[in-house]
Amino acid sequence: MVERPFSEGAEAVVLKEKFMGVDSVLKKRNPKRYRIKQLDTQLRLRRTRSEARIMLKLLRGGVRVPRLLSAGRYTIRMELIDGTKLSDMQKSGGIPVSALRKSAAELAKMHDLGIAHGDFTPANIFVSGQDVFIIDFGLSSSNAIAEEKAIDILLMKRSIKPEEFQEFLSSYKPSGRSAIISKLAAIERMGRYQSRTMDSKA
Amino acid sequence: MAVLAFESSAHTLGVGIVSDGKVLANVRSMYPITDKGIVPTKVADFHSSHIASSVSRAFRDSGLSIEDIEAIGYTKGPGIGPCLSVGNIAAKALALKYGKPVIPVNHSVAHIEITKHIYGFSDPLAVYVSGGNSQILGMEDNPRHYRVYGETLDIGVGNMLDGFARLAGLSPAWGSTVAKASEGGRYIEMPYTVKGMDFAFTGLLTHAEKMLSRHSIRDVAFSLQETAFSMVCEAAERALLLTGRDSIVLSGGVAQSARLKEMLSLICKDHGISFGVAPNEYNADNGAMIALVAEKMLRSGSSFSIASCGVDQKYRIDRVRITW
Repeated sequence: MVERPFSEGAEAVVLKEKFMGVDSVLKKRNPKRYRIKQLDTQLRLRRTRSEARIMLKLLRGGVRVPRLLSAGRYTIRMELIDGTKLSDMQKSGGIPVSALRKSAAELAKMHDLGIAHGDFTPANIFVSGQDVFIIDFGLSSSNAIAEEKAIDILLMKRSIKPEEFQEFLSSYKPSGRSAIISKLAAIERMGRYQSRTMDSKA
Repeated sequence: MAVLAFESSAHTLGVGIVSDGKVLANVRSMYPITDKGIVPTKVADFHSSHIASSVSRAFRDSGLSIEDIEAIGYTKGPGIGPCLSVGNIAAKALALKYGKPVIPVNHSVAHIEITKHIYGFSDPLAVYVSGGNSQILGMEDNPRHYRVYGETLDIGVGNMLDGFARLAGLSPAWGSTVAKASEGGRYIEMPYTVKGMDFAFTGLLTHAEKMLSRHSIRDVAFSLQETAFSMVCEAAERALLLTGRDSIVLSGGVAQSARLKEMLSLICKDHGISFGVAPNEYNADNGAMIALVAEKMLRSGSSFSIASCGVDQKYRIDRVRITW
């Protein structure tokens, strides 16, 4: 088995491997030497465990996420999604409307299961064929409160163009999720967010 | 020709003189902090009573006189209103009396720019940590400005450490006292809040306060500091990998922490990139960094009417157009 680094995040290294004849990815939370050992071990263990649990819960709830193949103390093995990240689409021409709508629908399903993603950005959404897949649940929380769900939407709002966000939001069906939407408005009124990005008048 | 500038955003009054990027004077006086922290009006009084002598000393140190000064800079914000006003009024008074232009400078930009200047980095990821601010940033174009990739969702890491020092009865109530108290401490579990590239500190502070009744100050201080700095570092590493830069600068008051410097330099080593942190006199608040940026603004053609030069307590860094 040849290990080939597929991508590296702040949290984990992702390796592409054959697993029992299938293409799979192995997500490994390696130690970070800037942190003291106890904190490092605790964070890696807790996040790996939580991510595996949440992926299972999402799979059972019908949210499109990669299938879980196995989980260890600091590793999760899952099926390889052959597709394109929304963040790569942004760099080459923009995100298609259908992908925005499907991402919103997956996020809505996730929120209805009580789960907030915690890092819901175009870098964590894959388009594969007709489907959209959500990845990376290391910062996710189950039994999430409205504020955590609102932050998922806020992160997306900050990452895509205003017209893309309008498309996204209409497919999230805000009418049925008014508590989350009013929380989003409340967070945006907080001082620190008011001029998060520079506007043309500045 | 040279630029003279005032810094008075918080407890330190600074007067700096810079000429062609060279620091010729950097005079600083600090309000003596007691267990009550910073009382804004008292600090403003302190600044007012020290400002004339600071200007004289800056001229003595640099060997220059007012005739050599081309423009007067000051900190517009962010900062504490009454304190900012002292530097603002002094700048305008000097400018009117001697017929010089006034240049309002963003305090956060100045902390980052002086570190870039010292190391000669052109486009680093910036980790800016101070009492009131904690942000991960980088320069972006159209229009050219510092974009905030992530930041504290509640209080700055410095104010959190100061607050803990007061709760634990440590004096003087600031970060280096907490660092000293934490030496040899053991880790106890603390809440760790990172949301993407943002982070939050109030939950951590509340938890640490509760732990003080069950654990030693040393263990709580150690765990608090390790947890808070690890949060900032994780957010910085994520921003680094997302934006792909070849260097990191660490700036602001909390950049004086030896432990935080160590942690970020390890991240830089692991990714094979350069790391820059200024000497402490430039991470503490100072007038030289304000003069440095005022000079850059002046040379790139910025000009301001005296009437438009006020203070802005919440002058966010991402509202500043970078003209150089």
